[in-house]
Amino acid sequence: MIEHPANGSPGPHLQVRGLIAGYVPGLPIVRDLSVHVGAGEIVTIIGPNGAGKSTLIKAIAGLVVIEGGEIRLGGSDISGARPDQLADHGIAYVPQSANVFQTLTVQQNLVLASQRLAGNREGRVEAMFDLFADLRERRAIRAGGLSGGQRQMLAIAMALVAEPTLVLMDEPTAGLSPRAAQEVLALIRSIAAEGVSVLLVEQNAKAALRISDRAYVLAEGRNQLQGAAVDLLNDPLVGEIYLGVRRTVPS
Amino acid sequence: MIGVISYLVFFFTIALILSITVLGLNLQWGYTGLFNGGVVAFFAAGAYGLILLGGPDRAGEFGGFGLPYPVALAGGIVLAGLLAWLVALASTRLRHDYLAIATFGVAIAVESFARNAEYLTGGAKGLRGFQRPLEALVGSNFGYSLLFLSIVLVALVSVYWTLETVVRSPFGRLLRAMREDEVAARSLGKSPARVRLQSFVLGAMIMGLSGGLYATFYAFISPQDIAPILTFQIWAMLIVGGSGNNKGAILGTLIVWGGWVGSGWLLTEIVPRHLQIYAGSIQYILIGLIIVLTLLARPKGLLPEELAISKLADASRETLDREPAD
Amino acid sequence: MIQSLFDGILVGAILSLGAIGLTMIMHILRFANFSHAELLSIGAYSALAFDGLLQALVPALAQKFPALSLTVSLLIAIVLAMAMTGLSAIAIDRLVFRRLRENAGPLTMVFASFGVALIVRNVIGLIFGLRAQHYGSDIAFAILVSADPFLLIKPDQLFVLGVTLVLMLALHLTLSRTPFGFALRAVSENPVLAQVNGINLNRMIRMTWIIGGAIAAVAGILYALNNQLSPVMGRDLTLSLFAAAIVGGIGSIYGAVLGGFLVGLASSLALLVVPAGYNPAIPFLIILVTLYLRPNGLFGEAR
Repeated sequence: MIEHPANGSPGPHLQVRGLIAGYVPGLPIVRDLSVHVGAGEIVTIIGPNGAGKSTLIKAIAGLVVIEGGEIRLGGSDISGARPDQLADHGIAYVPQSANVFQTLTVQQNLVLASQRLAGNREGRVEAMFDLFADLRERRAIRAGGLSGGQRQMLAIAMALVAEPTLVLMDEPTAGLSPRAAQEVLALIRSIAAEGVSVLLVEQNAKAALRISDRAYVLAEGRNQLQGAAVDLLNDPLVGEIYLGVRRTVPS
Repeated sequence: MIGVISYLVFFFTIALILSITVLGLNLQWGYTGLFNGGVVAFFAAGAYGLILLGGPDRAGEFGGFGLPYPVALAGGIVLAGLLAWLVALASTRLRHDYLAIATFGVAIAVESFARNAEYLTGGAKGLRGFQRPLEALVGSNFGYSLLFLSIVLVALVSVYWTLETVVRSPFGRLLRAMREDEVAARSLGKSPARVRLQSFVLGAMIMGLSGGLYATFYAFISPQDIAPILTFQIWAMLIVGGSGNNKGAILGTLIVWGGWVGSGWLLTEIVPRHLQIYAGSIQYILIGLIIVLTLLARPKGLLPEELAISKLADASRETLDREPAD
Repeated sequence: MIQSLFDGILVGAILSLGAIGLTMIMHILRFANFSHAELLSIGAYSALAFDGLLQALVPALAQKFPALSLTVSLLIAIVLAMAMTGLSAIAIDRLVFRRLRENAGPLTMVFASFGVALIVRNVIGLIFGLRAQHYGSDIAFAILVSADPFLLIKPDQLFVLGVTLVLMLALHLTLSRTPFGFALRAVSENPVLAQVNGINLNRMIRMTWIIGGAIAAVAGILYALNNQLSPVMGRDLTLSLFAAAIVGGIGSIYGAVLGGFLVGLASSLALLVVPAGYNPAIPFLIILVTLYLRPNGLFGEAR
């Protein structure tokens, strides 16, 4: 269920506060996380393995059990909502793997993803083909027959076709060639330029920080560092936490 | 007076024989989480095996080796075990409900075989003429029925004691560990599929013993005795008594068997003669309702172990187990 | 031999339709539904009831189609029965299965499905009687297409094949051309991703029950046309339906269709070498062999 706020004050588009979440009730992976993303902002989440980056994204997408804290989208409380309800409210989620339907064609994937729009579905699908020429060429091919990079593009297209206000991405450049990775990152920049909020998790921290506005560094399910991306890019502490030399920020 | 006692002896003999089957099922389902959809097949294997091995010579047909009773009984048990092994080997590595389908199928196949393979099984007319053990020693019918009841009791106590021992043994601990966390058990080098197979075969052999005793009691076995309804009756007995609990299994047997016999008698009394053919349908509906209503009333109580396995194993795969509220 | 092939295809057509709903539910809800075959019974007997009702209300509907034993009223009754069976499937899910899958595991649902099957089967027997019945009282005539090799065909059987073809074509077009069909396939391949893309899982589950149930109704009616109506028809078909679904690969609709025909042909051809009494055991052997040699079936199960 999605509860709407009493007043109409705008705040950050996505607001996560004190989140506790995990896959099994009683075993939280995210222990106490707070992040926010403004409209048109690109925010990156980085941190060592097991830090809870993916789990955070999945919690926002409605895919894991939320045990505490709150998640607000445009002011409305969305914690506990179903993934399809969230999709209807403008959240798009691009999983790290298994993010396209391999038995459907490129066209069928996009048509499916466009169904949650009220109107102009065909227009939006064509707009995606305008954006991704490679996909247009392969519109009748099963997604399972695409290369890794093309599948990733399709996954992103499926996220964008329904005009989301918030895009969640889990390791969008994983397994891609350097050139394809660059294309994806450039794409993310242009999405944000249109006013869409982007929250992404990335292993390739440097590349992600370069296109981001702000970033959060997580470890052990909690916030460790945060700030402007350009600042974090140059902060040696980030490297230490990220590489596991340090587990937490010194007080 | 003798008539009532005689009837009670008869009732308890059958009930206790059936409770042995229920104990076998409890090992498979209650302790190992295996769904046996064809209990009657293994019961039948034990029954037919006993009569074929220990019965008198049959003109022109297979069997009638006249082996000593314990040997024949053991033979039936082994036959049940082999049948179980054949079916479980194919399925325990796969989706859990494949075993349900395979066992359901083997029961149909066994009944079909029993009904048609006249040379081997006597076909629809069954196998008769079995000489019950020690019968020559006891003069009266009533006396023998008491003796046989005590034989059944001995068998039941032995099975019960064996199962309680198994549960406390390393094998039993392995079963419990597997229920808690199949992934961890696998990492210890124990193959869950093999453990399940062993448990299933053992449970089936217990069912074979029960079938052998049943055939001994009637000195006769035929396809009528191995109809599919027996599987449902055994299941009802298990769930009414509360699965995972050997004592409950025996109690459940008495309750359900009493209910079955009682309802049968009641229906004969109150249903008009021309509608008597429907009495069976009513009983079947009752069994169905017992199963469904008991499951709806306390689904968690039925297999909490299964819940633990599926939650942990599937959590990271985020499957349908977490069903969203509507 | 050719008669056996024809009969086998006929049985196969019926099994194919019956197995479609079974394979969908087995895949999406992860449980072997032992009460699915009762949906065929519900369909067949609903059609019988609607047929009788329609003929009583509008006697003109008893008009038969040329060469067939099919009446106009029966044709209408088939459509009504499809709706009735779809609704029954949803009702059973809501009453029994849904509550169990929220609180317990898939095996508990398997267990409950046995109970449901017992209840449905015997309630049908109580309502409609235990004897075998047919839709019309006339004997359907047959045409001797060829004497050597021997081939005897009833026009009703051609109707069965025709309906099967039409229904499968409709299903194929839905799956390959419509967004709803894409959604069904998406849920089958990856239910989590489907939700992420805006698909309401509970709604799709309901649709699966309706479609599976409606198609099963047709299968049941065709079976009754080809053989007879009997309260135990579900019980007799269960194992064959599972065999068809397993051979085809759980979750694959096209697999279920192919599996159905394979099982039908195998059963029919087996009659040439083995006495008819063993027929119930044939699907079991097919299942056992499949589980040993190729447990994922022809088109495999993705998950």
